[in-house]
Amino acid sequence: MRTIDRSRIGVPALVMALVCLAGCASVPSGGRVVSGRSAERAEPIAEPYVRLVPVRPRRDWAPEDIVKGFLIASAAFDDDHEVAREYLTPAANAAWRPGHRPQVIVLQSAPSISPPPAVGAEALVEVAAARLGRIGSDGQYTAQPDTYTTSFGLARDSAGQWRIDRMPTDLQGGLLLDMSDVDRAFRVLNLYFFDPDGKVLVPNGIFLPLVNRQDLARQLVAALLAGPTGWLRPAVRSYFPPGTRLEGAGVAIADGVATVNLSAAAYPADHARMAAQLSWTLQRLPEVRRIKLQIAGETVEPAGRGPIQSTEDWEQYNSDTSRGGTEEIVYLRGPDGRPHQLLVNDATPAGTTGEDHLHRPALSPDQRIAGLDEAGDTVLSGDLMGGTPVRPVLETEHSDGRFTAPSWDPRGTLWSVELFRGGSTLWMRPGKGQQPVQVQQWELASHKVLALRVARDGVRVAAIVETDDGRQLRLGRIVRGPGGVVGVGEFLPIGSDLVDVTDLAWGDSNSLAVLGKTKATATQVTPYWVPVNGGGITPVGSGSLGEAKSITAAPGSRIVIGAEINGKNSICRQSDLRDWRFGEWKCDPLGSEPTYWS
Amino acid sequence: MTRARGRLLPSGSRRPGARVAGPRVAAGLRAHRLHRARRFTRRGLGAGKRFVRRWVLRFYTRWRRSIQVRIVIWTLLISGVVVAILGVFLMQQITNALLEGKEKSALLQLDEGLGVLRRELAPGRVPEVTLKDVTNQLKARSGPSGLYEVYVRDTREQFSGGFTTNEVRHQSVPERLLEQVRDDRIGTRHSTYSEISYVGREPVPGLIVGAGDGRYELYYLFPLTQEQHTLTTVGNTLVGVSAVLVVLLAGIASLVTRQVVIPVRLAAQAAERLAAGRLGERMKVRGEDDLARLATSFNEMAGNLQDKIVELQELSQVQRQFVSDVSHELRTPLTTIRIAADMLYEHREHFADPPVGRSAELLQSQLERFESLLADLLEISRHDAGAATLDAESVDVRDLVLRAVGDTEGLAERKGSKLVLQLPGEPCMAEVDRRRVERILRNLLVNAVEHGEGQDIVVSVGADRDAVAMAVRDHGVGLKPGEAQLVFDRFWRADPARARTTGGTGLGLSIAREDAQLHGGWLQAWGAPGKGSQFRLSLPRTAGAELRGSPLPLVPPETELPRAPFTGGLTSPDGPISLTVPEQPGPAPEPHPPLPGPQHASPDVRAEAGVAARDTEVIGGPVAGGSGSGLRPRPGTAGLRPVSEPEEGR
Repeated sequence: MRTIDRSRIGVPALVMALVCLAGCASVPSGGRVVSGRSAERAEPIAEPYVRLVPVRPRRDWAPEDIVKGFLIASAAFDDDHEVAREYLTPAANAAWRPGHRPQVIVLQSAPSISPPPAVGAEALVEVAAARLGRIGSDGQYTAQPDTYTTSFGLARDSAGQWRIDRMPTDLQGGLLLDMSDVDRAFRVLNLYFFDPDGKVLVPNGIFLPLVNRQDLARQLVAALLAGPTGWLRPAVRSYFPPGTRLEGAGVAIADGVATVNLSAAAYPADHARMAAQLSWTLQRLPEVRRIKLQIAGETVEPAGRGPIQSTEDWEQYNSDTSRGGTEEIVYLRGPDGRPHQLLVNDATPAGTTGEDHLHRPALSPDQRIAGLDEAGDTVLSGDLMGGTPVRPVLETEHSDGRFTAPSWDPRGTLWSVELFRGGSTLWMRPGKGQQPVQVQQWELASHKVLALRVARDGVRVAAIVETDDGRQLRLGRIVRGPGGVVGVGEFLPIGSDLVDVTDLAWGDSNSLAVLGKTKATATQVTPYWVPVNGGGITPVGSGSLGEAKSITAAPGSRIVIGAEINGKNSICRQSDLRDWRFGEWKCDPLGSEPTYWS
Repeated sequence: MTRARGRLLPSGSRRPGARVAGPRVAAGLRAHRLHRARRFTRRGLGAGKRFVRRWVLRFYTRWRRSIQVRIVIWTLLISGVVVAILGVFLMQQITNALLEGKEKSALLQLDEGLGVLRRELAPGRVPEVTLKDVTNQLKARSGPSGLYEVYVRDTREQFSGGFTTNEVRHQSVPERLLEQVRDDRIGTRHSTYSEISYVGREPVPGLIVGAGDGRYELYYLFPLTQEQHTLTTVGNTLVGVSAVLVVLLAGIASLVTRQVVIPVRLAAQAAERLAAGRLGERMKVRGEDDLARLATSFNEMAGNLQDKIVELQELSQVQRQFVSDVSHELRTPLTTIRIAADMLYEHREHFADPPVGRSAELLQSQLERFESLLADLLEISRHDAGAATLDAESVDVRDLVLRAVGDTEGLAERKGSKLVLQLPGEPCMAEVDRRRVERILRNLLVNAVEHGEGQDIVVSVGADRDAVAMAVRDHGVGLKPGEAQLVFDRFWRADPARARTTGGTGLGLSIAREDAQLHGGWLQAWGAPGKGSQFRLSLPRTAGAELRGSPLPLVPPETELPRAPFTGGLTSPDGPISLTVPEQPGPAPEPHPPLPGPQHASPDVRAEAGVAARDTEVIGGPVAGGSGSGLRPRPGTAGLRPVSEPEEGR
């Protein structure tokens, strides 16, 4: 009886087990949807890159072939230019030290190499090309458009083969590469330093050769320890004490944690700010999510943040942090000329004080408002929500002077350029109730500056400068010398693809939102997203904007454009921040000249 | 080694003198340390070896003894081999399937790449597209996901070797693939497995596919890290599952074997107990399976055996009773006949016819013989019935010897033999039954005189702390090999053809042995053809004590072989058993059936039958050789009692 029972249960159980097993053994053809987070940042550094395969010199190559082969092979960084060195005589080989961060003369295209006029025991090969600029050994790119010529001296080696014996002096520690080689072999990466007050991190874009992707973290840390580029050096400070070195073989990355082991020299310094600099610098690498700072092999816990930190731990130093984590409020000049606050589909008056009919309004972080009067020759400022009323604070020095739209920096300093025939003057009003001062060291004094915006880090400024080629974007930096001497200069051209720039705003610490044209032939001014460190520009949004006049942007917030559509002042926005590249502009006739807090 | 050093170092540091004492002392110390360390090592090694040997031995014993262990180990081995073969086969299948899929998709990828290459680099295209641009297009699909890397080159370009993506080195493409692609340029696709090397990274195994398109050559390099990882995972899983499976199988084998082995063990135990004489032993019958049938048959067999044995015992009892009764019944007529014969004998000279007188004399002597025979029969039936009692008193054994010698002296003189006494100076006191010991001695002496051929007969007495011994040595014809065991059999005669004119009844030695046995002593015989024989009686000093050895050797020292020192073993209880056979001189020592001693019996049996076995064996030691079974119970206890041992032995 018992056995019968058992068999009755056993057969279905066996069948069930077999069915289960059969199910396990096959690939599922159904099931629920599984979600996962996509890669957070699509960094250019994460993209695949291409390496050139160099060729060794062949037998009986002519001198010009040797030079050509050398120039091509020197674009391959593998094993300290091992192949390129075969084109050199031992003496030249010993003298040529491009190293890991070589100086590069950037050419427009492959140089023209002329065969030597006379071939004796020595041969002289001339190389000529259109130069675009140069990358310094600190990674700073400087534009230097001109024609570049140089010559290589060649000699025969013991086997009777031509080899480069004499390098041009400016190539002893560097390379001669054309644009496409630089694009292929170099990447622009940001190092982060602090503003002089140590409050905000300032990015410093550098060109790093992509010698070895695996070694990039070490290269980045080494570059960070070496300090900012010459361009930014006087304007920022690094919290790594001089003499700090990277200990060990490199930066060990495991499970997204990069361990940076510094030498003991770093011990007496501000660990928190060092960790912040490291976090933000390494955060650009997709494989690094958090960092662990060690000094002489000992893990430090800066500011009680634990042994491992990410950039979120140092959010206080980030100038891109949006207040409250949501989109910021847009203010604008309402139809009646008073400041309005933009709501979803509407705008309500924001200020309450009397004389607040302002053109080109700008808002400071401490709720002050500044703007121009009708004629543009007076800068007015006051508190937005009561307190000090809006009143004139700065008037033009020159009779034909006109002010550009005022700009606040995070310290509460108000900046504006007075533009007059023959040049410009930069004015700053350091604080509430203080008298405006003229900035003495103003590099663009002889240029026509149409707009000037100070970045949220208070160190960098972006300006629109009218040149012979049209209106150009320039990036400069503010140096605060001892005794309150302020210098604004070292302007570098950026966004060279844009020809007719009308307005700009800082989008985040690395990018500008710019109104301009890419080609001189274009009829309409459209918005672009311009990375300040030399990356490609991106058009923003789609659809008609009428005649775009002004633009504003803030980290984590939508770009807002003031445009004139059919003669009416309109405010144009996109419906969704995430779709900023392709989202359609929607315009409402609510006012003009929008602005965020700066 | 480490332990030795750990112990040595502190002792060295505790003695500061060692450092100051100079290099010589230090060297000596070092040598000493080295020596000690070596000794420790050797000791440790020795201990280890001993340990291993012990375990191997233990394992071997278990292996030999237990079917279960054997089956489990065989299951382990066989299932291990099977699982290993299966695992290798499975791994091969999985690897093939994985790589096949990879290869297929790789070739498709290559086709697509070739398509891009052809489309973009078509001659006469405006604007002109360079190889660099195409590589940028091709690279877009590789990237950090690590799906594949690309190597593309222009065979007509002499200043550049082409482009590779990411860190991969162009040397990763093996020469054989380059040659293949170079040889048949267009169309055919080639693939091979090789190692992909990187700048600043460890090389990984990879699949490399390549094809030429006239001017350009395109190679795709697929790292197989993911596949390797998958295979490693699968392999590890397989190993784990196999190990569990093998252990499970062994466990199952162990369980199943237990089901069979336990009843078999129970049967073996039951059989052993049955063999040990516990005839009531039966097996439990459970169920109806084969093992139940085994139990049933076993029980039937045990029942039959028990019935037969009881029957035989009863028969033997009846026979003994018959002999005893016959002896008694014969006595009364014999007394009458005796009176008549005595009368006839007294008047024999008065018979006119001398032959009648002779007949009277003859009658008289045969009657005497008949009487003694009857007496012996009665005596032996008393022993058989267990009615013989020991009337022990403390006596000097020498007195008994002297009296027995005195009794036999006349007979010896008649035979021409001289009785030589070898008695110790001090008294040899022992608790013995005077009458029985005298009878034994008399029997032995008469026996010796009768077979002594007129030679000297040596009677020696020995004593030690626990025992006394008397030995009677004659120099007659001696005993043939094997006869030493037979002499104590009833009615046994050395020469069957010999007339029963001399000596006693043929029961003398049997009775003597029974008497010795009653004392807890031994009666043993030794003999060699032409060298005479010796009988030795060993008795414990206190009645009922266990006899462990004899003060006198069984084999006379003068006849011993060069291996004599071994006779010293005679003092041990097992001595006589193991030595009588090899010591027996003679042309052909009788092949002695191995004596079933304690060392051959299983522990259980020994525990139960040990005492009885030793008693019978030792006492009848040489005699017992004829018997097939060593498991005879003590006389008087319930169980087997051989009725006619000699016959069985023959």
